[in-house]
Amino acid sequence: MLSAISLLQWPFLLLLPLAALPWLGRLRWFRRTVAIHSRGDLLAQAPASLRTGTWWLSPVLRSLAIALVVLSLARPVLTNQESRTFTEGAAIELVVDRSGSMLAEDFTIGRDRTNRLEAVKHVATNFIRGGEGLTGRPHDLVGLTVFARFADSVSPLTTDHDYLVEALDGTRPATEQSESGTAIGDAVALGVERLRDTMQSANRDGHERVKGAALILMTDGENNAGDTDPMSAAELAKTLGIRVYAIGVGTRGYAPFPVHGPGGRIVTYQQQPVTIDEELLTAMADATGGKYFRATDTDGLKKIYEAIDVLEKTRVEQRVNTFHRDLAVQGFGLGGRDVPPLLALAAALVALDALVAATWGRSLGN
Amino acid sequence: MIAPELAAKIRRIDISTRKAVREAVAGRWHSAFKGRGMEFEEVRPYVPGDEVRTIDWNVSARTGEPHVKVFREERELSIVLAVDLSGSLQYGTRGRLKRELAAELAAILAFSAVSNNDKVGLLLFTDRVEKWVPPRRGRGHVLRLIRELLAFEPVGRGTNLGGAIDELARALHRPSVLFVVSDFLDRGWEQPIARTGLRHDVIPVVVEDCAERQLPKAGIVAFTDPETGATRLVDTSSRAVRRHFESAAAAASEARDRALSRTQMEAVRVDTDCADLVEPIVACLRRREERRGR
Repeated sequence: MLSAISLLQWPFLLLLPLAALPWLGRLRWFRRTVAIHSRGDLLAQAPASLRTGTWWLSPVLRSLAIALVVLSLARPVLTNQESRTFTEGAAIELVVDRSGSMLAEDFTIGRDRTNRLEAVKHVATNFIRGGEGLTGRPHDLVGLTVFARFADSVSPLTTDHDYLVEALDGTRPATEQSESGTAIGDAVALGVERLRDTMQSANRDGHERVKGAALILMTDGENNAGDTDPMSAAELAKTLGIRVYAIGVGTRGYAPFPVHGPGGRIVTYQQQPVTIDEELLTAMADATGGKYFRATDTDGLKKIYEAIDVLEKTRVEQRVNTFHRDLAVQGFGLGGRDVPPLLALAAALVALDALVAATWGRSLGN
Repeated sequence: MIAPELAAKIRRIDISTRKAVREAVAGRWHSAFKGRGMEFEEVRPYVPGDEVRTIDWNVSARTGEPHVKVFREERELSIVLAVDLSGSLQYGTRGRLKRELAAELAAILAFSAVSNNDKVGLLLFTDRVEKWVPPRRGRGHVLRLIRELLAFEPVGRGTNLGGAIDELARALHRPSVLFVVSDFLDRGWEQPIARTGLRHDVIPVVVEDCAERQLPKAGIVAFTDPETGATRLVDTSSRAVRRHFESAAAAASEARDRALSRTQMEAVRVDTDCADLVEPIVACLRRREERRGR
C-alpha cells in the first residue's frame, strides 16, 4: 500500500506569512504598553506571573490556527494506492508414466546417471517450483496422475505445490508383474476428467478463475493396456479445450536397463531398444492443439518444459485502487496516531485562545 | 539664545525661590558652612591680647618663643553642584521628572550661593563627565548654570557617580562645598564619596520618585530601563510582583542610606512630588548648624 500527501492547491501556501500577523499585533501591543522605569534592575528580577509568563501563548495559538487554515486551503490530500494482483492461473495436469521401462538409465542429473523417472521428477519439480532456468508456475493449479497398467490420480489439482512435489517425489516405478503395462489412454482420460472437474468447480459461479487447461503426458512406451483408446482420450481433451503436451522420454536406439539381482541390487545393465509410439503421441498432441516433444536427455527435457512454460501463459493482472482523503476535513492517521481534520484542529486552537483571552489573558491586550 | 519657555522657567525658579532664599537660607548659609571658610594664613610671635587657644604649641616649642596661628576667614565659599543627568533621572510619576527636580534643587542652591556672594561651579555627569563649569561669582553666571541644568542634552545614558566625584575632586584645588544631586542608583560610589568628604564638604542630595519604592497597580506593562534599554514584561497587578519590587527597593534604599550615614554626611532627600523645595534644604542647613553647635 502506497500513501502520499500532496497539496492540490499549493499556491495558497503563499498566504503562510499571514501566520506572522498575531506576532505583529503582539509587537504593537508591546510598543503601546512600554514604559520607562528607572528601577529596571529591580524589575528585571521581578517574578513572572501567570499572565506575563504566558504572553506568547495567544500568538502561538493564533499563528498555528492561521497556518492550519492556510494549509487547509492548499488542500492537502492523502492518497492511498492499493494494488491488488489478480491472477488467472492455468490448470496443468501432469500425467507421468511409471512403468518399469522408466527405470532405463539413459538420463543424467548433473553428472550422475539416472533413470527416466527420476529425471522426469527432477525437471517437473523445477517446472512447478522454479529453478535451473525455469520460472515456476506459482499461480497455477497443478495435479498429478501416474500410470502403468492402471492410471492413478495421485494428487488433485492444487496450488499447494509442496504437497504436489512430495507426491511426485513419492512416485515409484511399477516393478510388479501385475502392474506392468502402459495405459496411456486411461491415464490421459483420467487426467482430462480431473481437469474437467476442477474447471467446472472453479468456474462455477461465472468467474473464470482458471483460464486454460493443459495436460502434460510423459511416457516412454506404447499404449498396451487400459480400456480407453488414447485417441479417444485426446478427442475428449479437445472437446474440453484441454491441450495435450506429449513428451516422449528416452534416448534413441538402445537404453541400458538395470537388471536386479536377489535383494534388489542392480547386478548388470541390459541394453534394450527404446520403443516410443511417437506417431500416436504426435497425433494426440496435434488433435488437441498441443505439441509433441522428444526428450532424449535431461537438458532436452528441461528445454521442453521451458517451451511449455512459454506456451501456457499465466495471466497476471494488477489493479490499482486509489483512495483520497481531504485532510482539511477528514481525520487521518499519522505515525500510528489519529489526527483530527486540520480545520477542526484550527477551530480547537481558536477556542483555546478565546478561553485564555477570556480568563487570565484578558489584560494582555487580546 | 535662550528659548522663551526656558527663560520663563528660569525666571519662575528665580522668583519663587528668591524670597525663601533671602529669608530662610540667607542667615544659615554661611554659618552652616562656617569653618570651612577659615583659611590658615601665617604663624607669628605671640602678642599680648592674642587668644591663648590660637597658640601653636609645636612651633612655640621648636622656637622657644610663643607663636600663634593666624587664620583668615574666607569670605567667599566655593560651591560646586554635581548633578546627575543619567537616564534614570528621566523618570518621574508625580509632578515632575527627577531631572527637573534635580535642576530646580540645584538652581535654588545656586541662587542661595550667589546671593551670599559665593562662587558656584557646576558638574553635569552621566556615565562620564558631561559638562564642567568652574566656580565663579555673579548672577549672570548662575543664570547660565541654570540654563545648562535645564537644557543640557547628555550624551551618555548610564551612571558613573563615583567616577564623576573622583574627577571633580581632582579638578578642585581649594576645599569646596559639594552638593551631589543624584538618585544614587549606581554601584561603587561609596568609596569615592567618603574619599572626597575628607577634603571637601560633601552634601548628598538624593532625588527620588515614589514609584521607585512602590509599583503602581497598572496591569501588564513592558518596562524599559532608561539606562540599559532592557525591556521586561511586568505584571503590576500581581501581588507577588509588587511585593517583590517593594522589598527589593526598600533593601536598596536602606543600603544606600547606610552607606551615606557611614560617611557622617548630612544628606538631603527629596521626592518628585515635593511642593516646597526650599524647606528640605533649609532643614539640612539647620541640622548642620545644630551639629556644629554641639
